[in-house]
Amino acid sequence: MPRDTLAELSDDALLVLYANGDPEAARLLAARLAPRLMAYGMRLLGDRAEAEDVAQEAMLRLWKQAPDWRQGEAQVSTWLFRVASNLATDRLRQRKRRKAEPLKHGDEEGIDPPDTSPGAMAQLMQADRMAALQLALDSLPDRQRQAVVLRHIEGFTNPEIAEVMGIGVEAVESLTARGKRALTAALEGRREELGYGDED
Amino acid sequence: MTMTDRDPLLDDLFAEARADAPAMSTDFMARILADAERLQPKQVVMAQPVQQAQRGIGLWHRVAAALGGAVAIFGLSSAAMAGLVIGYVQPESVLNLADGLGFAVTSQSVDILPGFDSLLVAQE
Repeated sequence: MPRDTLAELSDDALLVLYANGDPEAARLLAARLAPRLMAYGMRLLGDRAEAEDVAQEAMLRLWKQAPDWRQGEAQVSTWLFRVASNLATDRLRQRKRRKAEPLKHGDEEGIDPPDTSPGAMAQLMQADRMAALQLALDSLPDRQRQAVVLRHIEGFTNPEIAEVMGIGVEAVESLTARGKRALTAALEGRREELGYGDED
Repeated sequence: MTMTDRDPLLDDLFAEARADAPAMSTDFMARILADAERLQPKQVVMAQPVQQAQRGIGLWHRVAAALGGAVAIFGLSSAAMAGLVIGYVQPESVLNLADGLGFAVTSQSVDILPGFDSLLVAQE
């Protein structure tokens, strides 16, 4: 099938073509989905190498799932982001355990309330706007961070986020609302520096 | 936070983040495509093994198979040859056996296919 025609197909259809042995389908799926997974992983983990590993592992699981994929039952993107979310959560837990064992206070890291101490905010002095956002995101609890990134950066709808996270739509709304409030609080100390000091 | 309770700073940062896609390294994409190639099911080829196998078999092979194989062909050939030899040589014992059965066969008149007349004569 010509590449132009393939480019118009849905992720679902491309995955079926991949399962039928079409080599071009894999290239298009990877080009569409891997960058999004990579960006999502970086927002959750704050580390490029780990984000690449998560994205690659999620895509690998998609390739394995392809022969048994049932068209119409789930979106490829939500399925992939769910896998990536679980992989990232596992890595965050491992990271916390590694930090907790020697320091004995790791449970407090990354958990409510956001770290808005003068020392933490001082680290933002040399950072650009994206780094400021990332640092604020890093201060959120894992589930709030996932929900906020999926809703406001990846552009998923609340029902799609509910599917990705395996929770109800109301829980998604609660997580995103609390996440945005926490982000606002985390950025409060940099508002003027980021050019928004006079708007409040 | 309600819809009217918007934070312009946060909204702008989200918009910038959506546009700020990280660059993909060629190595990263190569690893993903290598996985895809390794795990991709092979394309199904519509082979015709039965027809291809029969194409190499000649007419005689198929006739021999229909008659029961090489052993059966050898047996039939041997019987046919024996019949021809007996017909030409006409050994004494065969002529005596023919006389005993009432067939008037002599060395001068060989009737390989005796007709009904011979049968009638034999019954007389």
